[in-house]
Amino acid sequence: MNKTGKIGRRLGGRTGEPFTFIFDDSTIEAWPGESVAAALLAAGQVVLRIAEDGGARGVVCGIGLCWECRCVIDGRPNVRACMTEARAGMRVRRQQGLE
Amino acid sequence: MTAPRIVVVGAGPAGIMAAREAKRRGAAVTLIDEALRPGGQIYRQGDAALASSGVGLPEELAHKRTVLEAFAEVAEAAEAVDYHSGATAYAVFPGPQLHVALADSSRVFEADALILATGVGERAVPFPGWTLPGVLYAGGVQAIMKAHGVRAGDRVAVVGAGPLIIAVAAQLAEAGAEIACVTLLTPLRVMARRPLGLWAGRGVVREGMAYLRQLRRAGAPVLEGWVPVHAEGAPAVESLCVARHDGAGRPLMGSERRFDVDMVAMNFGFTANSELARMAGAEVRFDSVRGGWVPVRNEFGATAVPGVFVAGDGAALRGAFVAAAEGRIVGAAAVLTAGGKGTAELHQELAAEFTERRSHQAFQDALRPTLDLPSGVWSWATDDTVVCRCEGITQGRLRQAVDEGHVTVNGIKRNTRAGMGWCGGRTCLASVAALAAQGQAGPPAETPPMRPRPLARPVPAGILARREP
Ligand SMILES: Cc1cc2nc3c(=O)[nH]c(=O)nc-3n(C[C@H](O)[C@H](O)[C@H](O)COP(=O)(O)OP(=O)(O)OC[C@H]3O[C@@H](n4cnc5c(N)ncnc54)[C@H](O)[C@@H]3O)c2cc1C
Ligand code: FES
Repeated sequence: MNKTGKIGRRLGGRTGEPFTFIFDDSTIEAWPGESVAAALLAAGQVVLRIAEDGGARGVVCGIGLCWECRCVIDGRPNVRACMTEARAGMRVRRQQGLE
Repeated sequence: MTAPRIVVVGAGPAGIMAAREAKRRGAAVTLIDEALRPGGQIYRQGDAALASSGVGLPEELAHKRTVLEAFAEVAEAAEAVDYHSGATAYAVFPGPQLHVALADSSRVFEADALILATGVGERAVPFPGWTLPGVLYAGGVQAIMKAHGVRAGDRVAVVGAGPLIIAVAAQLAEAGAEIACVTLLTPLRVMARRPLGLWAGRGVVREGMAYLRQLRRAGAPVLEGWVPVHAEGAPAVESLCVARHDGAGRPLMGSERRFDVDMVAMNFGFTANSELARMAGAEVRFDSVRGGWVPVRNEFGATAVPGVFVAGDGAALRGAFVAAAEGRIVGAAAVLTAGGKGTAELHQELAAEFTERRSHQAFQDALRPTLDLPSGVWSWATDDTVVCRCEGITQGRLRQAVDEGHVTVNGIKRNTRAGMGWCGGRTCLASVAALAAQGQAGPPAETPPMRPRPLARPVPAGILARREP
């Protein structure tokens, strides 16, 4: 598939095949080159973590500096969703407090 | 004489131009960047599979081509620059000696000169609701558009100070988002106080005006002299309340307007990534607009620490054009200094680069008043607003520490644990410094942060243990 133009929150064209990964109970569609954070934002998933104080948190800086987007990715806690490229079949989990 | 070994941290405009200049002058150059692709913050590149890197102004895109061509020149040369992407520099020791975390191991680079071109990160001013998911930094929103081709919301408020706000709002509109409102702390027309500076930056000014017209056409209200009051929603942001301010940054009661949004993009200036320079032992001075505590250096970028240079926005925020011109100065100076050349010779040799840097700097000086933060902004957070997001420390807890007599950055940090979390304190440092200054009734310059210890960034222990020779 080769899509051009705007696809929902996606801008510009996409080449390559879309694929999916798992985020908690949802299946998320992504295109090659997107970060986990970008694919989640495109799907309208903004709550990425529940902080130790119980507050919901999501992407803030988008460039790896704030560490607010920490998720559990393929079993590894504290992985920054904004710095991790999305891959087919990945399992991403909302991190709950200190894991 | 053997070729001097120059190690450059940061492959943005400053680092790339420094690497090229050093290479052209015969140095053996290593270039380290934690991003996967060269370009730095402003010339961030997406994966080839994403056709989104066209976000930006024509003048900006032309400069981006120049910078990326310079990278191609040194990356493809016969004795190419030793480029490491996805590599995080986490410590500097005397020598200078740079410690770097690679994908699965760590490595030490010895240098005759180390050039730190690490750029800036965005600065936050906390307000109630700013920790809600959907409240992002505006530059980050732009970075996600540029590098990943995704707009982070459908109906957005863009709030902050300075021209970046206008650019991001227009780029979001172009990307199909509805712009609920745009607020600017200080009207952009204050730039007219420096007509010569505006003239020097006339290309950028023209393009900025085009952005403003685009926003007007899209029907987006651009509110100048307004500030955010609070964001609300559960679990993510659903509305933002903004208000006119009193001139000192404090919202005026009764002037509030509320907008329904699913994203807030905010930017209140930048913080220099100066940890490595500070770790090396460089002195810092305080300049709120230019990045907070910034390394002290001479006109060639040399700090007082032998062999340690700083270039670009990480030395003082002045944008990509100054960063590139300065990269050339510092790259050349590092090689010439290693070769024993003195100040007079350097000035003669680099006259053209100095002229270029000065002309771009004039425009940055005109921008300056749009980026100044009046002290009232630090009172937006209420006692229950979380200020240190990593450790969950509230404004009330920080104020209590100040009331108990902890009136330095380090004192407040030790007393509350603010700034001790994952981000290394970069998110709350400006807030803590402002509180310390209020506690002392003096400028924050008097309480510089502690010299950081390694690690400058969290690095998994396994990577540290696997050290390459
Ligand atoms: C999110 C964001 C958006 C911005 N958008 C604009 C804009 O639209 N217009 C504008 O004029 N300016 C913008 N700026 C300001 C921007 O910093 C400058 O214009 C320009 O990029 C400065 O160039 P530089 O080479 O000094 O630093 P940068 O371009 O920031 O390059 C620094 C590089 O150093 C790397 N780095 C930092 N620390 C380490 C480390 N410890 N180890 C390894 N690598 C490291 C980073 O990955 C980065 O690639 C933005 C800044 C940010 C943070
Ligand atoms: S959003 Fe800041 S580190 Fe990922």
